[in-house]
Amino acid sequence: MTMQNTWRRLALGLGAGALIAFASAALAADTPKKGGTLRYGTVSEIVSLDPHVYGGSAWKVLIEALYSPLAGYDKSGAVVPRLAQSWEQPDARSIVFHLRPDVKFQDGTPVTADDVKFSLDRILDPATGATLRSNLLGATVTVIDPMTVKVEKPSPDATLLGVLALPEAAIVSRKWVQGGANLKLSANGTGPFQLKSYEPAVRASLARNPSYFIAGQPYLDAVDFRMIKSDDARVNALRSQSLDMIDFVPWKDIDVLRRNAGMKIDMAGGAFMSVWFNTSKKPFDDARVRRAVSYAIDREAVSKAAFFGHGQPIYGAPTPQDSPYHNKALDGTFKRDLTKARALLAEAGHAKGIDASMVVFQGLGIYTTMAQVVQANLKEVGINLKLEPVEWATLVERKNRGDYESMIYGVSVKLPDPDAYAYYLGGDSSYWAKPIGYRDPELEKLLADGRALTDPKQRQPIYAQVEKRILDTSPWVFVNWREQAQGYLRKVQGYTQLGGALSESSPGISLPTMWLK
Amino acid sequence: MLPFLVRRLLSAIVTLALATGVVFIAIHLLPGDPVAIMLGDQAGSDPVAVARVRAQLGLDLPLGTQFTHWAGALAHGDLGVSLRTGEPVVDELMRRIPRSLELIGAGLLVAVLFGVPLGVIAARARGRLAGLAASVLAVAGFSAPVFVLGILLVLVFSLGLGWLPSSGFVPFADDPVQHCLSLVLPALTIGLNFMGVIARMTRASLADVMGRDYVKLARAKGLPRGKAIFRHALPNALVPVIAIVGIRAGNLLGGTVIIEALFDWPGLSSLLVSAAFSRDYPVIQGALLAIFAIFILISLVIDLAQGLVDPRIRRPSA
Repeated sequence: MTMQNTWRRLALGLGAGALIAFASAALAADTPKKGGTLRYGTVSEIVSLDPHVYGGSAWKVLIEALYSPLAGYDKSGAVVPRLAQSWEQPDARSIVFHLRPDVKFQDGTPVTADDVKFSLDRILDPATGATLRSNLLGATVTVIDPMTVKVEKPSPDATLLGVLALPEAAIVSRKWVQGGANLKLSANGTGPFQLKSYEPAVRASLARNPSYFIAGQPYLDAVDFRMIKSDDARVNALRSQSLDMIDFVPWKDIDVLRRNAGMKIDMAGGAFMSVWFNTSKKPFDDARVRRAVSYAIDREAVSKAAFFGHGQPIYGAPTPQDSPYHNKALDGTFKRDLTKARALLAEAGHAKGIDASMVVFQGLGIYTTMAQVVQANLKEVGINLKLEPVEWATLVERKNRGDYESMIYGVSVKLPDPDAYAYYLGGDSSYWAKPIGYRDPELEKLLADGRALTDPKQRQPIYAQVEKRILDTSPWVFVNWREQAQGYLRKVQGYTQLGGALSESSPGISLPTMWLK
Repeated sequence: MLPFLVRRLLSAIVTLALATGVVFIAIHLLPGDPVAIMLGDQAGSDPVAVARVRAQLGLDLPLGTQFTHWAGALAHGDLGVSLRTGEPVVDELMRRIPRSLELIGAGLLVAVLFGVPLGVIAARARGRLAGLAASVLAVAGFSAPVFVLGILLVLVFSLGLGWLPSSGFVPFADDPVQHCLSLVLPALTIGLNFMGVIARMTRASLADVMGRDYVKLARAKGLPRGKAIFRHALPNALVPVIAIVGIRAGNLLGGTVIIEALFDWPGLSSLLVSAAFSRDYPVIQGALLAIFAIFILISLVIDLAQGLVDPRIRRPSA
């Protein structure tokens, strides 16, 4: 179990920027009360219940309530047992999981190693379109006995356990899926709650799972998800107490709601805003130009204008401050410096200025406002930025085709592990690098080294180099954290907000131990 | 009137077929891949997965083949399955259409109940304070953008007085009282906004009719002004008002996006918008088809209603 302890320490530290809500400590004296329905208003529309295909932040919470993976994360961000009661790592490539003997799916069939194999194979099948396919690529799953299963990767992979603990690695029933179930519309899980009713994009009602494998949980009788896209409608519903909790409190309302004594706001940076370059096209094929952009951007101004001050600037790399991988030495790298920016442009042969374009999502104020600030900032150093506003579907298509010079993109932290950089910038990842043909051999090597090691102490210096290399080459310019806030009435107890990759999962992680006063 | 109806119905069906064809081609020509959006940030950037899922959904077939499949299924009353939700489009529409019709119906009812009397007052009391007040009220109603009106109503009646829920649809079967309460504010928003148009229309039309010989004759025979208005002038004056209510009803079918969003009322408009943004082709097609069909139905109903208030329209010679 030493591996598990290592993981626990690592994840604890990472807590991935855990902003552990003081509420839990302050109210520790209160004993949880059973019962009640939590009415939760969410900005994103849940349109599918398939637990393997990411469908937005609300989807993630719902999936965590309905399904269970082999392992999971607790409120401190540590990896803890779920369907597996224990595991061991014979080497850095594989993990052997021992399942709990007594767990049943909602339809009464017991959870076996065969279901685990079926689920992970389903994730690996490209026809599923599963979110974690790229993370698990090359993995083989072997059933050792009905209660034991081995997951193996072709090369050492420090992220394996962390990935299998994500909600998107939920275990589904082979019998149920192969029996023709519509996974988009119905659910058959092992989570703390069961699906009672569901209307896509409108609402989902959950009731307590009486045979949840963690005794005594959940505390709530029911959870009612209401998908309310409109910011005003969501906030008003919380204010008028027709909801108990909402996600994505609009940035403009955070300070106002905080002054309201009947409410609490918890927030953490779970995503960051960045400028992506097409490094194979002029003028951003030159690292000097990209760094000039980074020096020219006024990140404070972006935070104030686009996020009402709730968008902490990132002058270094996007690793949360309380992560063991956070490198203080890089913190001030790209403090605004117009002289340096102009010098770099001149060095690159653009002393007289350049024209460039930027693709911007037009559907959200944070994107358009940020774009306008960046445009004004770059003007000061002689970069004439033409903004190209597009709707989301077009943006996704142009991103996947590599059809842009630069683009603003909000990146949600993909993994509670620094190997997330391989996904962001690695040459084999089609997220950003592949469509534009980016591959930095030096970075590739560092990332491979980091992935092959499991001891955080050994990994730290490697990721320090990784980040140094990324800032030197600046294929992306990191601008600021996007604070994501949950707002809830005071009677809601037991919520813990985590940051980084676990930010979106926080309500899902807290749900089994949340209660109403 | 019957042959007229049949002719209209036939031309409506042809229009419908042409419109759906055009819509089908147009939405498929838009940039953006439904699968890349549906699979999200991670899997959606993976060309292997995207290609496989596209093939599974039949989106890799030539456009002509896709259209034939769709049209063939439609002939059997099958509108296909939503790409995103995996639910038959018909089921989705059967849930959403009644909600939209209810919202629009309630909104128009408010508009007529307030708008017609306001118009009558404005016409009768022209030049006097009451008439001025009625006109001002009417103009205020339709010149305030719906979202401003909506937010104002929420601030007063929900957050301020606490009488009504600020938003949130409650199914009638779950709780009839809450259902009706949650309908009040969105219906008022639609109604108060449109009330102005109806009031102005009523006023203008009434003023015109009041000047006609038959009304003058009625007045000359000694009929009091009020009686002349309600018995003789108003029914005729309402003919154009009914027409405009009908057009507005058709408009609102896909045009209550802001209201539905603000009051969290899951109707046809919000379905259409979110389907359009995520390129859920079967849902876009199905929703538009439904809207066209209802629009045509409403026009027919309007014709009949106009016939009811104005007997001349009923006669074939008219």
